[in-house]
Amino acid sequence: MPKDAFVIEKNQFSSWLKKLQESFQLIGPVEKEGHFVFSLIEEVNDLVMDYDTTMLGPRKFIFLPEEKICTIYQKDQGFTIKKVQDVPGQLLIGVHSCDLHAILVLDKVFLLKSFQDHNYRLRRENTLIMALNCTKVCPTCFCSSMGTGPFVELDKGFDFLLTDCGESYLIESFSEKAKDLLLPLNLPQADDSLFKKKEQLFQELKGRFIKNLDTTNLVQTLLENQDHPVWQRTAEERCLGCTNCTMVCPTCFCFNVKDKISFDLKECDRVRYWDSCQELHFAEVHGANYRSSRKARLRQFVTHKLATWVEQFGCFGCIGCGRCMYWCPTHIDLTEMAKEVQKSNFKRMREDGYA
Amino acid sequence: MNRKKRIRLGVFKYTCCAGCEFQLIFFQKKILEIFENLEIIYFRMGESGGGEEGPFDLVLIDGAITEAWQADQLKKVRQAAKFLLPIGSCAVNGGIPAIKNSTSELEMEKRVYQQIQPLHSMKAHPVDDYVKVDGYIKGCPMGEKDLVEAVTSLLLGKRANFINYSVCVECKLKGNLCLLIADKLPCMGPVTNAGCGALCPSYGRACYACWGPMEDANSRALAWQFEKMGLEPDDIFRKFTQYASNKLEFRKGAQLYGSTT
Amino acid sequence: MVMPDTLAFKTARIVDIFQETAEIRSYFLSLEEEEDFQFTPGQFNMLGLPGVEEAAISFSSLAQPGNNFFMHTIACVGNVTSLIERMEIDGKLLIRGPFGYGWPTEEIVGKDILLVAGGVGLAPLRPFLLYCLEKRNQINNLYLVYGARTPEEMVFQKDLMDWQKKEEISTIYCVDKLPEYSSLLPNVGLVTHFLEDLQIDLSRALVCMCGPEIMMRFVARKLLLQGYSEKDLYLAMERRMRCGTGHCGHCQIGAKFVCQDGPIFQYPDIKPFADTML
Repeated sequence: MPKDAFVIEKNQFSSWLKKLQESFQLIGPVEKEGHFVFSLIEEVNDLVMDYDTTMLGPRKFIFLPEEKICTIYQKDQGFTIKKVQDVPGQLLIGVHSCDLHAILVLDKVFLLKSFQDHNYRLRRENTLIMALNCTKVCPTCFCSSMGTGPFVELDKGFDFLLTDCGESYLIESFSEKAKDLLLPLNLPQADDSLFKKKEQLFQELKGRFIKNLDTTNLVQTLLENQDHPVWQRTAEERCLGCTNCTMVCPTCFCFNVKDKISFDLKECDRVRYWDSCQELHFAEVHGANYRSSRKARLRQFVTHKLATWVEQFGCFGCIGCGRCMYWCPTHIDLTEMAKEVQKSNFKRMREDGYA
Repeated sequence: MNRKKRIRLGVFKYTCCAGCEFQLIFFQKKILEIFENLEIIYFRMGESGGGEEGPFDLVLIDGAITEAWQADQLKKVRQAAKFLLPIGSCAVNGGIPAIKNSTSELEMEKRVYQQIQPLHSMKAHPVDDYVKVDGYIKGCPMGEKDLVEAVTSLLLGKRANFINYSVCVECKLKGNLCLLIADKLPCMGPVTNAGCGALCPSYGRACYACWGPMEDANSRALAWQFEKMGLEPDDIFRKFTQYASNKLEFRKGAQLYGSTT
Repeated sequence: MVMPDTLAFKTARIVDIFQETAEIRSYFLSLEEEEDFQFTPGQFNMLGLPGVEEAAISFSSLAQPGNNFFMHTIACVGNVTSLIERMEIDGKLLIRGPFGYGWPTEEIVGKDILLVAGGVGLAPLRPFLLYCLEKRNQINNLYLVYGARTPEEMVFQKDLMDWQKKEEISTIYCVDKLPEYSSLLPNVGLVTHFLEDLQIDLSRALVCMCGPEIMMRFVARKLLLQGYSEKDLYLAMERRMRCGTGHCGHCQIGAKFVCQDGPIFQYPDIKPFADTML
């Protein structure tokens, strides 16, 4: 059910954002060299709300590509540790449904297990999310198959939801903070006809998906076929091991830690940066590398996103944004690999006596 | 941990442009602390004199090996050195001098010199083809991050963790748009070792692999992709032989489009 | 509910150092700020020093109630461990922990327990063994099969000799090469050769193993062939870890995070996934 739904004219929306700029860092999609990127907004007019997709999702403003975890000072009597304390409040504008789901997936990883990640919690608590229902379907996205789009159907975990209705937005608020921010605007309530229009847009958009993935029994099928030939073939012929897929994936959470120590060895910045399971040294321990072949690493990526993630976090790790295949230099398509496994389920065929 | 002992440094230069040594001198301005911790024993570009015999805590080798005396000296230096690191693409991968490796030696000499009798040149090889090395400071010229890592590791007494992922990682961490996809440029980033901070891609130029191959790079797949993008075989061959024609990772890509002999 | 933060650093002081073998030392540590430090057998700490990040190291001692002492037995092979190797008594380490899910201490009642260890793999098993000895009257038979390359490479030699004499535990020690002299009088051969003829009732067996993954592979296979059931086998897995708290992703084996779901696993939990040697 709609909680608090209002209509806001697009001009008014812009001037409202300008006002919000005084208390928040605004982050949203802007144009850069013919593509769109999420970036810090200086001028509200730079915002492009009808963007298709971005290379990096808004995760880079919550789980930073490279950030300091803490500084360790070595003293004679021991150590002093300075953690990251202050982060600015930020408002993510125009977050598509898939990216919103991705942030919620990261919440599960960093906040809802037995330990809370210090840096992520700080930034997440200081982030407001203004989601935006999609108006177009990208050729590589398949969010409708993963149940993560194209419209936001959640009722918590974010703050605002926008739906483009031509001259105006339908704006719904889903948190107390959001309600408080909308209150001074005295906006007119949205009526039923607007919701009917929203539903109509949704149905229309759903029919336009080019790419899809059947997720029935997918987990089991992939786990049963960890030795399927598709991994070896793709790894040999196409996978470069360049890590682009995992870098652009909005749900990838792996990081590596590096110490940057001063030359007097007294002060040490502990830094973390996005790491990737596609990297050769990712699973290396002393004397062994448990994923030394590109095949094993590629399989890890696909089976993690589409299978083992479900056991870990109760949802798919893939939110169907299609970034991994679009930004892969050789356009390796994870849905195609999954489909190939589904089509030729060797484990089943062996059991049935066909292979 | 207060180590007053300074690191005894030797720098030896073989076949190269000496850019890496300039880089080392340039660091002195930038990171004076590095040199405070070093005692220069042999460094022709920085200081005259000095003994070749050592002993050294750290030896940096600049340049590819293209003559017999170089290999002889290198082996002696190795025995006098606790740690030996090749610096820069020539010493690590063969670098620019190794471009000649895909042509016969005689043909190459004739093309460049009128008198070839006094020449004693052989095929260019990286340092680790002759002696055991303790790591690689890659780059053209060598990278600052890796040099800092090498020095702090020596001071701490730990093994250096040099950067060993692809340029794509640095590009993405910086938030650059991918040139291969967005601009259809033949970028070597996916197979090239990082450390430069994605310098060229950040200015809209395709990576040309000056740091040499990343470990386990799949050059063949990238070469096929370049072919699909419409590159001529010669161009693809040159891309993979320009900086590291010796390295197996790049030879796999080059061999599809020309003879690497 | 407030969940624990990932950056809960503690300072530990080296109280004593004991040289186990040429490459392996035991460090007795005590926490600086906390009076009471509790952990279960099989859990681990992230040990760190500025400049070398952190490494996951299992406890090799049993926690004492109301006490803040603990022991780590470390093979000096990596960056963290070789830096620790050069530290002296009163040196300070940064630790985070305890992390992970330990040995099945609740399962031991009425069981025939077989402990199989290889090399430094005895270190994570030692607290569990001590725990079993403490609760000896609750368990039926207790075996330790311990293998190392040479007698010199065996850790906890004093303990090994003690255990050899004890009636509460039956021990089999084995080495790859025949030694000229050894007070332990080990057998020659791989641990897998000494898993037969044990007084173990398969219906109440509990096997805990820790060692190189390739050793655990063959021990597990041998035991399964002998009729042990898969769920009675517990293994200690080792993976690269950067956080210990289930965030960095490095230690994943299929759906399992070794740092949080392990490092001790029941064989059927880990078997379905690729990228192990099992």
